[in-house]
Amino acid sequence: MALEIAKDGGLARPKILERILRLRKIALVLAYIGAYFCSQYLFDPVNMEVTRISEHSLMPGLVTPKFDKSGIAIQLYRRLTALPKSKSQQEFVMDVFSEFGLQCFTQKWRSTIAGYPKRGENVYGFVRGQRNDGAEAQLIVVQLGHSESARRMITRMLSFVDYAKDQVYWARDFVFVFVDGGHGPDSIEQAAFALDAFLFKYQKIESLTSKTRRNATVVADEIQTQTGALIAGVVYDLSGISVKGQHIINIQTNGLNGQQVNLDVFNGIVKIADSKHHSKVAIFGTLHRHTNSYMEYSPFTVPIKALMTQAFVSIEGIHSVMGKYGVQGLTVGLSHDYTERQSVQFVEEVSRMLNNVLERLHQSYFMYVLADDMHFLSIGFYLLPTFILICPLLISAYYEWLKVDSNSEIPLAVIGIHLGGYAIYLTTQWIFTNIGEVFAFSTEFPFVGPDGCNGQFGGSMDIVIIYLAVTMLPLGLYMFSIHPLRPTSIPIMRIFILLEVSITILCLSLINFGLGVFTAAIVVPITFLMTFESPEKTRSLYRSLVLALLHPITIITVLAWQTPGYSTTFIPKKEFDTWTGVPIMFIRNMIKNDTAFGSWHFYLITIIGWPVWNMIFSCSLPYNLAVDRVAAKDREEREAREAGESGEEATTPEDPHPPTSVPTAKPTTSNVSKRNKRKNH
Amino acid sequence: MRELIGSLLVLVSFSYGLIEHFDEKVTLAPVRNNELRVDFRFNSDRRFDSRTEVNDFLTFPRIIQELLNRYAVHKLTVTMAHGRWNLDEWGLPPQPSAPAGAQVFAEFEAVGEEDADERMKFLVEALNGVLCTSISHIKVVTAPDFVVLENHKNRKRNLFKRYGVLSGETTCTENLTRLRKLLACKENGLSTLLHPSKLYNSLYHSSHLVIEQHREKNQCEAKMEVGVTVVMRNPSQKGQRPWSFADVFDRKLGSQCKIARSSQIDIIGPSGEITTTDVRNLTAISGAAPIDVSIPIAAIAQKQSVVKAWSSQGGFEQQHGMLTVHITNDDSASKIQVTQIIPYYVHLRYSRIHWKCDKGGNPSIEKVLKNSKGLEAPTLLQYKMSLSAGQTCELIIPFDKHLLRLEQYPPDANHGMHIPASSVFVEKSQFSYSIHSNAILVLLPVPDFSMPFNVICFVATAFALVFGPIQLYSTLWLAPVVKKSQWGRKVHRAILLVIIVFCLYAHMMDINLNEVRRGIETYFEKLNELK
Amino acid sequence: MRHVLLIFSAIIGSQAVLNTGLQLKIDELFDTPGHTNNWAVLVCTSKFWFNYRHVSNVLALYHSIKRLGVPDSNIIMMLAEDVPCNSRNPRPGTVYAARAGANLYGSDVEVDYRGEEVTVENFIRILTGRHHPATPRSKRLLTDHQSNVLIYLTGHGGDSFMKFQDSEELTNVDLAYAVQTMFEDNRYHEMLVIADSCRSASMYEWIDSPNVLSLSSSLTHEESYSYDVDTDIGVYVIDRYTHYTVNFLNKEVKALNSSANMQDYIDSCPARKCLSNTGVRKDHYPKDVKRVRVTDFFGSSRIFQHLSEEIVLDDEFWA
Repeated sequence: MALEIAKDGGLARPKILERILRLRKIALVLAYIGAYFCSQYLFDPVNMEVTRISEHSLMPGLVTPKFDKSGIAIQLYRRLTALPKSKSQQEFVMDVFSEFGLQCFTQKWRSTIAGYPKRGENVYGFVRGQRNDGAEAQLIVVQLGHSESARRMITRMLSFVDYAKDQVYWARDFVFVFVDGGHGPDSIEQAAFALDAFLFKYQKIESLTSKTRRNATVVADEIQTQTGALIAGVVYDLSGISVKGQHIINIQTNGLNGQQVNLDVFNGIVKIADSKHHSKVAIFGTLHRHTNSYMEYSPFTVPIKALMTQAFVSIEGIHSVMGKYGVQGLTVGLSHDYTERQSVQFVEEVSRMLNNVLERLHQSYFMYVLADDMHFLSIGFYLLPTFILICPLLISAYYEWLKVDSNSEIPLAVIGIHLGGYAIYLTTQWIFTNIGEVFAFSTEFPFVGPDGCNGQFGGSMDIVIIYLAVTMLPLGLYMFSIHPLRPTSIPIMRIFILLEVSITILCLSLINFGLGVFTAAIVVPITFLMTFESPEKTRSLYRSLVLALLHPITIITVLAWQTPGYSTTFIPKKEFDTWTGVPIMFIRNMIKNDTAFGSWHFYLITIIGWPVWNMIFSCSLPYNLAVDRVAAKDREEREAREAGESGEEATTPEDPHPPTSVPTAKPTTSNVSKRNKRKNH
Repeated sequence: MRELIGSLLVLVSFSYGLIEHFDEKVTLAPVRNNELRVDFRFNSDRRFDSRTEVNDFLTFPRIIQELLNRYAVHKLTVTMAHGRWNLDEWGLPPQPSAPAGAQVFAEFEAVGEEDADERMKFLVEALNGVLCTSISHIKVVTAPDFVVLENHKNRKRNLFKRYGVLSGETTCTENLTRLRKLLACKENGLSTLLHPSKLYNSLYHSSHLVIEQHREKNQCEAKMEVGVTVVMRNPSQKGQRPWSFADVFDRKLGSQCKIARSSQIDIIGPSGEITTTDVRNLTAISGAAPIDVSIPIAAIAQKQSVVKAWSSQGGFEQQHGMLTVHITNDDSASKIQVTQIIPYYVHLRYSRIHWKCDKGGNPSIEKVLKNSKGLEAPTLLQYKMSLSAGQTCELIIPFDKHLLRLEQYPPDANHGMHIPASSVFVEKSQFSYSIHSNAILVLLPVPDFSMPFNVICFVATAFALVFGPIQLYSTLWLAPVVKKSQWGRKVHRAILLVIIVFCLYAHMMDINLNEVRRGIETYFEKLNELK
Repeated sequence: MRHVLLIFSAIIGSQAVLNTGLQLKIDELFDTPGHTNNWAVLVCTSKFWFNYRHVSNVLALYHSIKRLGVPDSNIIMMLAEDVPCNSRNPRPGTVYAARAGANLYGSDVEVDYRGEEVTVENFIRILTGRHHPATPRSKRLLTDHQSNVLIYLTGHGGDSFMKFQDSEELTNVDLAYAVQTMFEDNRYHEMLVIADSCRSASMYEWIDSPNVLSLSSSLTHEESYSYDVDTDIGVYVIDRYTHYTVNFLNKEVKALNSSANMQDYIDSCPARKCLSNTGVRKDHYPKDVKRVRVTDFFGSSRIFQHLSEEIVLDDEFWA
């Protein structure tokens, strides 16, 4: 009896992959179209999910607030306004706490980074719950300052302290921190750094000797008393406004590196504002579209602002550093026109809401995009555009993979360039931390020193200018035109580049979606087009020159200039006056945020962005490679064979699994039939 | 009437040799300007002949005697507390010192270690029933070598000791009710002041039960002490008027305990003087004419200085953490013995456990480390050392956190698990006492307990690991060439398609499978019905 | 004269007739109960502070049945969360079932299982009587074949299950098996199972043992609703079904000889009050519910049965 292979167990390559490869040339266009329509559908607030409280134990707004000590708030405000110059605000707060009979301490902190020399003094106090065991705590932060709104907020918070200490129902201790942000224009950033110092000591990170990835960025006093585990923290200020009697509360949820606060905290505060105080909530400085009849703007404004803030802004507010220490934090800007009673009752309600939770906040979303205060998009949906955008890269990578055979060699340039990038990163970080923004070369070890050190030669230099000068030189263009890669290792190089870019974008999107999707939108076409096969010399020269101009920083500068409406939210206007203003400001901020706060932007640009940009030159320069031609020809043959087989298949419908023992179809007749078919249609 | 009962007691005791006493005392002392400390102590003791008087009880509770006899207990301390004892302001905590939660220390006779463990389990369950607690989950049970509590400091050779702490245990009215039922005078005397309405609205509330039994030849002596200590705060008392019973207990004292040997009320004034009121000898107390006392509100000036201890947690991630116990000596040299129990859910790094002291470096330290066997057994760390005046020492214990098995997680796994408070036994030249620090809450890495995530994980893992190779090796087969019927295949595919479509439909319409089943059942029932 | 006599005898005769008529009517109203003691198992299955109302459900019912005579030794109460001494309670040591209600947690409350001991395993152990040998007596259900048992479950539930402590589930099959085990071990005379949660009618679906009457607060496709929120404490304080149950017990069943019957109790919460249709299952209950006193299950009347046989107690009994 004749035997056949009834099933081959999947040994043959699945046909679907071949069909996908046919789309390779138009993959980019398709991906963009698909991503555009997909995101247009997903990010429309009408299609988004409605926010809800997932953690049932929160019960926001269910309890009637009973705060009644507005008189004390007003008295304290008068005292604080009339404070003599010799007395600092910190001393005032300490005095008030001791009058209340509560523990209060000051903490002096000092930054160890030479390029960001700040120092200050925080004040922190505790309200211990009466009947709990102190194992947990919640954090309330207020910034010290001499402006009227700062003074009002401080005194209102102190009156809340007076009220809270008499209540018997706190299941968690309170930690009140009054952070010192200084008086400069960057006071919020400095206040964030002050809070970072406080939390660093509170969580006792330093003593965990197993994790000393970086030395401490700050030197501060230790916390001298019992500290409970923090579940959530809220920063209060009076940055909200009221328009024609309608109070508007300003909430900021964005944290460092794209971390966001647990959505339940946000939802609870929105519910409290709405049900108890009849106030609206504005996020990213914009109000709910439907409630605001004064301005008509596109429904995508808030999601885009949210994504841009998540992508590019490291320190949105003082709360941004809380995510680093595992504390869910956000900033609530109460309306400036609230009475004392209303604002402290708001604080009381939020505190009681957080008091109700038994477990840590884990039920709701940590990764989401807010469209307005009632609609959000969760990670399950918003990753889709990124996946679609990545597809061309993956298809190309698969195509290159098919070209790889035993002759291919792994190029060592990959390691070399990445090491170079890492060296640049380490050097810049070291110089900024130990010497400062301005440095000079010297003849003594370690060959760099502050301006005016021994053995200095050459003038003082700004680290940002040096960095820009070093990285914007198209090193790859020079290197790969003098020593081009062997043609056999070009496919592997392409695979490296494509996979590195796609994996980086995917990993970024998981954590910091804004940065991931914007990077994908820009980088995917560049990578795809530059690593494509090029049949002629002029084409490859032309695209290499274009690539030389497409340094990541240049792209960012150009985009910032093109979208003034959005980019002015985090780039001050005066930077746009000169050509170099924006990139210098960008790099300076990135270096500072990297060393002071631990933000990734600088790391990503130097260790992944710059090496990949240089690596792409190795693929954009060569042209008319033999390996490409061979592969293209193989493909054509295979496609023809397949067409023949499918022609065979069409004539024998009862047998969907063509037995391989049957001789293959003769190509000529089936090609003829196929050509005939094409002619007929 | 009183004299009659008293003489009856005397008669009874003389005739049999059984001697029982019952004493009750309440001490009131303001410790800070608005804070009042109230200590109740009820002592009951009994001396009897083990041959003849075993079943005769006058004032001693029978259930306690049964506990002592059945489990061969020599000394047992059970404490329950909520709140924190403010070592900075309030002085010495009530002995036996109680950490927040429940604490059990038992010394008993047993045949061997396993028998001792078994007996401890039974004893804990019996205590559960007597005191209405829920400590049957007490897993942190160890056998300490050094002294843990002040009243268990005498070592006896052939006794087994077991000590356990349950930090999350609550204490509430029902426990107080059960303690009251152990007293000789439940409805009269000072126990009527143990009314829960105000006692639980306090800064610190602890209750303890200490029972012990000695035996010499045929004479046995059993003792029981029930104590309740409460520190309450009344913010409206700001210097207005002295405290009274009505403020503190919500009622006045309206009856006397006539069978008590002594029944007194002590009030400690600002300069340490004690005013004693002997309730037994007061003539005119009744429900209609209750007595009340006046307690000054000025805090006691002289407070006993006490060694301070507190624990703190370092790190917030889900992989490593650190426990630090800070001990600060007061102004004279002391010898301390520190006990710390580490439960099974954190893994210790023994080489990194160290002491760090200021003022002259580390003193010489004797240490005991017991790593109990068993799946959920805790680790016991004990240290003995001498501290000089004013010295602060820190015990630093780094640990790793690991995922546990599913059944080892408590129902509120995201809350975290407690590492119990450490116990410090302080020995000075004239006296000794024990104090406790606070417990810390450790957030462990927790799996995602939600159903969809688990289903996805299981299915994806099964597919990835199992499906591939099995599909390959099971589907590669050779078969004879046979004309296959296309109709069979088409029908088969049609059935599969129908099932898939139905499942999708059911999922979209949120059809509950139980409802489908019920629908089918009723349909068949209807078919079977006789019209 | 004759008329007077006639009228007089008619009056006396009719009195006699009327009297015996009334007496007969009252005796005929209720079936003779066959039990001699009453036990109750009251379970609150949910943890966390926001489930305050489930604890107050159980406590309200507890006080009602204590008032009607069931002693603490015959009640097993399981409370999964410590609500009165919870550090979030603004009135420590108290539990309220209504805004202006009385404190339900005075000094006479005995809680047998609390906190983490309220598990499905312990619940089934209580019902079936298969305990660890160390379990103290107060935590055991010591019923016999002449006990009427009331089982009351409240908490969060769904179709065919009841959620214990947010991490376990008691399915209706488990409950049915436990009841069947009780029947085979002769551990009850008659049983009343009440389930107060969402979709609770599914809880008694599989019960197949005789002499079991089952009630629920809502049908299988409905949710149960809470009654009242206390804005001072900040929680919902009682559920509708239990609120109306306790109302009924307090108003209609004032003493043990009350003549309220089970049908009155079933009718005490119509859909317009409870906002959900209460479920009843009578097919395993042989008596007519109109002829069964409410106090047969909710109260504890000491019913004496006369023995007419001789029983010899041997030495083993006295040892």
